[in-house]
Amino acid sequence: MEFDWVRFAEQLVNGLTVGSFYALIALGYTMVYGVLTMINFAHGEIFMMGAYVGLYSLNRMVDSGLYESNPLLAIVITFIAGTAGAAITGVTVEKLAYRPLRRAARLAPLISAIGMSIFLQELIRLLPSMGESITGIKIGGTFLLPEGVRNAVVGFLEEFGGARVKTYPGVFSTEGFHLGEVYITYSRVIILGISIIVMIALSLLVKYSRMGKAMRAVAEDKDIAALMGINVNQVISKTFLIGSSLAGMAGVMMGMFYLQIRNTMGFIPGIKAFTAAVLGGIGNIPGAMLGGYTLGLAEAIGVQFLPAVYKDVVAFGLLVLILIFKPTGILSEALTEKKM
Amino acid sequence: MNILESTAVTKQFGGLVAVNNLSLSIPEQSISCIIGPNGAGKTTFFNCIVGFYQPEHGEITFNGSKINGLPPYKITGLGISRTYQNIRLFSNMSAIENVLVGQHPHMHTNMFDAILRNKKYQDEEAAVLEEARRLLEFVGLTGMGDQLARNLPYGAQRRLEIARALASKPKLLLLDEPTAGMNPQETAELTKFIAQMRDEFQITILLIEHDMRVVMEISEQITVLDYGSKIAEGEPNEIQSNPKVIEAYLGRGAASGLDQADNGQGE
Amino acid sequence: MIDKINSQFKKLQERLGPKAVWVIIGVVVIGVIILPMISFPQRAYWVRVIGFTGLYIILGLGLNVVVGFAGLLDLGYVAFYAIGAYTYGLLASGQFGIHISFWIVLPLAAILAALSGVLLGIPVLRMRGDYLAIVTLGFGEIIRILLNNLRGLTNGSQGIVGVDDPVFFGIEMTSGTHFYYMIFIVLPLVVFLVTRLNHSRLGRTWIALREDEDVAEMMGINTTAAKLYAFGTGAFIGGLGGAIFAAWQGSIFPGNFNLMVSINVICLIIIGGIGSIPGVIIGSVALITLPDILRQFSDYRMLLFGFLLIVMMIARPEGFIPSRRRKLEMHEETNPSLD
Repeated sequence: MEFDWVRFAEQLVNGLTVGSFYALIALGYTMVYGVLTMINFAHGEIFMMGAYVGLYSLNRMVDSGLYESNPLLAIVITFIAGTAGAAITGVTVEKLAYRPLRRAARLAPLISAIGMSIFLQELIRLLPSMGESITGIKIGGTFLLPEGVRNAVVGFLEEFGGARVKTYPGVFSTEGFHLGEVYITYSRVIILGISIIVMIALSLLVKYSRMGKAMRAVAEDKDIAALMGINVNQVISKTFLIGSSLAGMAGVMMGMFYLQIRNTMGFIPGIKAFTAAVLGGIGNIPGAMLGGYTLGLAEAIGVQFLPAVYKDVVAFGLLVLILIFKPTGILSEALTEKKM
Repeated sequence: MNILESTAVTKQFGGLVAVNNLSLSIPEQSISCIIGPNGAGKTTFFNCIVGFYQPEHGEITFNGSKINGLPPYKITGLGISRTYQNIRLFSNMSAIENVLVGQHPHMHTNMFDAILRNKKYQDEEAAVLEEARRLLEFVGLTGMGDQLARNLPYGAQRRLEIARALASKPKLLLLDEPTAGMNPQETAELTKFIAQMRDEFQITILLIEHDMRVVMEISEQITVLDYGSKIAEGEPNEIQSNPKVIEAYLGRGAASGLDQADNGQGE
Repeated sequence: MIDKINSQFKKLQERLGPKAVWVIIGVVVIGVIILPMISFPQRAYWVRVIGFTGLYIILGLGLNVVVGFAGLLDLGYVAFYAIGAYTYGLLASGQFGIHISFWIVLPLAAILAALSGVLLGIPVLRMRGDYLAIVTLGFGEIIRILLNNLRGLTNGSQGIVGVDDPVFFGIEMTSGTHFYYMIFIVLPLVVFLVTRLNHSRLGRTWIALREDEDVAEMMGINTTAAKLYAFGTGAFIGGLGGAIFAAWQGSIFPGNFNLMVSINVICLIIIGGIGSIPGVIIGSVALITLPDILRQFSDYRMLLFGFLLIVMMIARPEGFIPSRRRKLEMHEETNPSLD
């Protein structure tokens, strides 16, 4: 059988798309790790929250007719909503579940993060039934809340969460263009474009802005940074804000691209993105991007030679190989070097 | 006879040459000192000796055989042991357990002996425990053995680190700023203790030290490093009068330190 | 509020002297022994839940060697559990028509798991902390994917059904009660094993490794070997648990060996008090028994579980029963506590 170059090239394009998702999510892992040296296990769920808030907002746009009259504006608002939803979740998660543990043993924040991950997944799944039981409280035989409020709340929660798979309205068309024999949809180009622009902006921000400097100072040594007049809590909050925003953006794009979302959707991309972050050298921002694309492409190339079910084996196998030969990742950051 | 010989050892970090072409001989059963300003490469040199860093060039021999390139645990097994500038105890282990870990290279029981708790295991445990208690007593920590290392007072932590280092039965003991953070009285005690340790265990001691009083009092040989290079070597009085040392390293502030050291000796 | 919980907890600990602890242990042991003998409503259910708790205590004790003692964060522990389970599943079922006795396969499964632990250990030894965590996580996932897809060997997602029942002196072990007793005979043996290791030279080596790897190596410890021992021991115990699980269930599927198993075991260790053997027991009761009981009540079980993990870490990050080091200087060997 001859090698199918067209299919291979299409897989590469697919790898870039998937790699964009991995890279965007990986940035959140890597930034949080850089600043707090903790694995934010709930990051995949923050990504999932972005997808849910995005979907809710997009549905409202469709309902109100704005999507029909001005699709671009509607999509931009959806992006903003999804990003903001994830950002708020991320910052809240940090404040409630991680901040009290800042001085605790290394594993405590990890467990708290695992707890948060389970909690958020379940929260989304149970929202409608929780709404029903809370608004259904009766005092002396009558409902505490008027029927209208009850219906509105339950309706909102039904619309927002639940155990069922939810479906994004088709935003991206399947239109595209031919590059030689290879067909590329515009949606893939858009995803790649947005991701790269956002990531470049982030790199510049961290490299040159005051806040970026503060972030690096906190990563280096929280106590010294505090002594230098840096508001450490604020820097950490901002780190979560930025990392979660990127994840939320990825969530909205993934919803638009793959259409189906569910409460457990954060898990696999979360694990993969973390893998990508480690691949690139955790704590290292360009490394996370490189790691994301490397992983996306490696999976795409891997399934060219192996059955598709082994995609994950390729991802983790690659990780193991790279770490054996370069234990601190492709672009190892200076901070992990041994110090005595 | 020299127990440790370093020949043209160079260790670089990127563009920074931390240790530059350093040749050094440490006579057996001496107390020698390495001094130099911060960042002169003293601790880096220690790390090269114990195998934590691999020097790019040069050779380090211990008792006549080359040791650079060996993993740290093997070098420790050969008889080199150390303490750390910023105390690095196993903080969630008890004091006596820290000492027991130090005895590791001289123990022979394996996993199955431990599970079966056979006679070999029991005898060895009893022996090392006895030895550990003796070492704790020697450093003056009797009665503190069952406390977690992190709960000990600062001075006790320093002495525990020495006990742990002695537990591996070293022939050469490296002490990295043993008096750092101690008050004058504690420092004076420790200075005496170091000399006593050499006599009692018949070992060679090489220390990095900033306190000139200590350096001048106990050193038989002093090596001065600056920017990774050796700029002087000799006995305390030679070093004190060496203009190169005073100019390049001691500077004005430390020169007064020398005066103090003089006074100290005169008292 | 959290401070209040904490101080209450301390008061409770103070009030219960060492004697009271032994009384409680005695009562629990006797309770565990006689529980299946008496008849009460939902007896089979309780036997199953408590049996499962026992199995997770075994797994927890194994992983505790790796995470608690040696400080190596292993998120792929389920792999060894799976290897143990499939070893028995393949060697004692109709899958290949092989029917070897459980009592032969049980140690074999454990040894095979230990070997794979060492094999995994060799390449990942140089990695530290979180790198290790993600690689072991990947290893666990790879094993699960292979189980799912190597259909010729494992029958894929259809799993292996009709795994043989062990025969114990002519009695075919079929009921939950049989396995309940099997687990609670193996469990003390595992406690015995890890307790002895914990306080041996090897145990001290592990703790030293956890506390400061660089210094441990410079104290003359071959850290590579120490890590391999930890991986091997942990995997051995995981394999043991896996084989028992396969025999008990009578059928195994790749889905039984997902990441949640590893996460559960890690959580129970940390909730109980990392590195502490009684902690593992309390942690298993808290994380395996309680959610299972809650299962009857509602859909909110996992939500509550996640929430409690967070609260627990904030209120008591060192776990219910923090590990202590045995007194050696003053009261050598007079206090042979479980710890």
